[in-house]
Amino acid sequence: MPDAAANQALASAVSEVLETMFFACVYAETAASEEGGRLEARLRFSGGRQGEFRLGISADAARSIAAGFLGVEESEVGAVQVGDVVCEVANMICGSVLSHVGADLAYDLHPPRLVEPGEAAATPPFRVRSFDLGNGTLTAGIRFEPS
Amino acid sequence: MAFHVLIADDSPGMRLVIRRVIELSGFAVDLFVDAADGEQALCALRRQPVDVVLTDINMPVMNGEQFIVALRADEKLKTLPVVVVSTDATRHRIERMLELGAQGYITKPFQPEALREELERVLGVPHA
Repeated sequence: MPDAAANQALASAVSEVLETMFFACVYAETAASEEGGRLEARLRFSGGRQGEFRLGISADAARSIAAGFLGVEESEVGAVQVGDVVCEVANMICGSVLSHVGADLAYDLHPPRLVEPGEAAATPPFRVRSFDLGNGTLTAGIRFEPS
Repeated sequence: MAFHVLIADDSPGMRLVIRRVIELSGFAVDLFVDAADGEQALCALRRQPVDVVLTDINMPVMNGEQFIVALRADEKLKTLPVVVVSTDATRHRIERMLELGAQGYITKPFQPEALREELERVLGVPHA
């Protein structure tokens, strides 16, 4: 998998998914954020390609996206709903990336899960891109493993 | 004419969003039925007839493939139109789901108009 193709697919998928389904804007690419209070979702994929996808997002941005997705005020969104929506964002972006990089290959997405605080950080070699959402950052990373 | 629509997806948020998107699109629905997996959907369909089913693929208990196979094996439900709503846009998956008996396939993310057009197509409704 060429780096350029995976990097381009990550950027395209993040914009497409957030703007179409989550009513969020991607302002610009930014440096990866390590601030506290972030939520992280992970999911594995297998089949024609196998590996792992990880998505980290600022708590404020996650709440805003959840509210937009569910069509309610931010104050009405509970922590469980925010977590569900972060997992759904990860699911859609990962599916979109895999479709961009290999439309001819079948794959299975495993259920996304939220990472517990303190769980190990991303292990290289993840290809990672981070984006400014206006009220926080979103970082998406993917790792392809040998079949 | 308004339709009855069943939405099978393990994400409550996604079910809500699909419902909202259908409403935003102007497609007339007077009853939504929710199910968190294929098994729940089958039970619901035996109690409450609908005009069309929207189903995810990756679901626990009974996934979208198993659900469509079960629908097509059920004498009373085998002709019910099914549209798959999935993140998976690979050719292999789309062909597989259509071979199993889905009439439509739409990939997430999607625009309201795209979902409406797919519903109208599988139901044979003239485009408004």
